[in-house]
Amino acid sequence: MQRNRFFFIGIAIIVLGAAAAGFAWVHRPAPTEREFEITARQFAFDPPRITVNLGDTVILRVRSEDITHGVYIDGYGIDVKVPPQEEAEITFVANRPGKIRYRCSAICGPLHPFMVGEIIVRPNIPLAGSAFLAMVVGVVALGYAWWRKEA
Amino acid sequence: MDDEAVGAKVTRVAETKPVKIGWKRDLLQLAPFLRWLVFQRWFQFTLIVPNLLAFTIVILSGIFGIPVGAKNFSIIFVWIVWWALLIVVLVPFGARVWCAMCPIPAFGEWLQRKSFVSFVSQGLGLGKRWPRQLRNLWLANFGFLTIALFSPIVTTRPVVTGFLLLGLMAVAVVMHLVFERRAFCRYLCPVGGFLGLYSMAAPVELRRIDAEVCRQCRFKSCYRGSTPESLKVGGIGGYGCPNFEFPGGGMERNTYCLLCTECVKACPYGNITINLRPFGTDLLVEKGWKLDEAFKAFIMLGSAILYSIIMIGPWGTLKSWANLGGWGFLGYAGMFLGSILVLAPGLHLGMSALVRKIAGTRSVPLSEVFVNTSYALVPLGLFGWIAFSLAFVLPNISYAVSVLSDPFGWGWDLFGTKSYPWTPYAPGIVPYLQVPLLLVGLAWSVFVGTGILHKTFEEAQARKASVPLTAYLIGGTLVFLALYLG
Ligand SMILES: [Cu+2]
Repeated sequence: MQRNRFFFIGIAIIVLGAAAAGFAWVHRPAPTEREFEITARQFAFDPPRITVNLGDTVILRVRSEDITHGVYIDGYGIDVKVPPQEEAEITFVANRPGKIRYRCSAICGPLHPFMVGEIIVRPNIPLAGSAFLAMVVGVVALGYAWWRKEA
Repeated sequence: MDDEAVGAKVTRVAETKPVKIGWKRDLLQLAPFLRWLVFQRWFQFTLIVPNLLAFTIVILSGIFGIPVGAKNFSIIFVWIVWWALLIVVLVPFGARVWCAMCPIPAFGEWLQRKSFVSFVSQGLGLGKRWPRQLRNLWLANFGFLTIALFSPIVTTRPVVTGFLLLGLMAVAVVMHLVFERRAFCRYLCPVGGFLGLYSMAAPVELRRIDAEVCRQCRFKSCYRGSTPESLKVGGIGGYGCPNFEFPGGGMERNTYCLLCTECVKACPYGNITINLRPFGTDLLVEKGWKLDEAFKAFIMLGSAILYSIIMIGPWGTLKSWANLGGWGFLGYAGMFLGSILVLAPGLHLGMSALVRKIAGTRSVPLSEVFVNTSYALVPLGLFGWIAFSLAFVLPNISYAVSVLSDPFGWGWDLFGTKSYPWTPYAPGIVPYLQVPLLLVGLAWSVFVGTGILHKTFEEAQARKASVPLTAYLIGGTLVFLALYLG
């Protein structure tokens, strides 16, 4: 009896979640061109995080304030060096939802490996999906543990 | 016995029925070559030597090599190659097998034993007993926290890494000459503490075979070491457990077993072996549940989350504070230590109080719920560490190829790989490796958590209590997901 109720609540949550996701997807903003001024200095990019929409054409104007840095964009095959006091322009289409990390690709000091910037491509389906999955996994694991204790 | 008494007995047995542990297989029987190896006196020495060689290069390149981490053998091979091997392979699959091959205590132990390989009953040193008040993990916790606090420095400056390892080795030598056995490894080593905690999750264990044989044994060579009398009965000659364990006395957890296999060699009856077993078995061994280990769990889970924010997050101010950036360092230190020593235990205490309230019993003290449930954080912490490590290991491990040819950054090209370019591996798919890892950690933590609650409370109470504990574990997972994907 109790198990049926849990089952019903689970189904209801999945249906509601799917409906909300579908609504958000249908009403997602139309892609545009978006430009950002980014400053690179030891050991960070400023602003640290920018947000765009799926399908947007992203233009990054990266300027180094101290020594040579680089911009390597994970998963986009882009690697551009930024010499001191110069500006590099990077253009790409944000064609995958979720977080993109970009990192410095020119060894610039001790914390160089941790010089990272973030671009959030909305809707952040990977985050929502994995958070949802975590709740499902947690509940299913608990249900399984209970069931095993009974068996 | 009348029926009622039998009935009562049956109920009691049912209540105290141990959690089903599943199968075990004697690995030394399955793999005769391994058995042969373990019975060689030179087994551990052979494991240590290559590591000692690498360690020597690490110290030399750290101190004398180029100060740029990415071009220096010490930083790349310790904090990326060794670390990745340790957290992704050795600990989850091999328990504390690293401790068997660790070069840090090697000189100390060789001096103490006055021997590299063979079993010699008369050693060197004062052989003092370790103070009773310090027979716990608190010193190791403190040492780990100190290094962890300065890790943005330690892991990026070759010279700091070089002197840190040299220093640890020096401390180990002194400890071996003053105190008995490997007091350093058991009570001081900053790495040992977390290896011990997470080794409970591993699918291997060193254990006695037949408890009855141990009960009848009058030598206790696994703890005391071989004696002429015990050698007349059997064994090839071995030292008593260097880490103060007593395998024949019912060692039930991997936590303090270094897998050095001295006890295997010392046992006159061949009654100690290495088993394959299900993952995570030790986490449900009640008699080991202690506050010092509980804090180790908070320290590890907390530092995985904090490093995910500070090291691989995009926030530059935090990074420069952590990088000894003037007064800001104090802010960073406050945040770091506050989160681990106050916030994490505070949250856990709140959860424990809720668990106890929902279970609806006052018969189990809050402190017991607090300590016991902290072991549920072990799988999630381990997988959180693996997920975090992937985020800096995969983008940076390609440096190892070039550094191998030019360990000091002096322009050598030993193997012709010096100019191998920096190549981030699996760029863009790291989050999709992290998510399944975290979900496995979560599911496993929920299983362990419910198992722990069943040992802490009665059946019906445990069932209710598992709801808030599961919510808490899901919450912890969501924090990691928010950091890696959000
Ligand atoms: Cu840089």
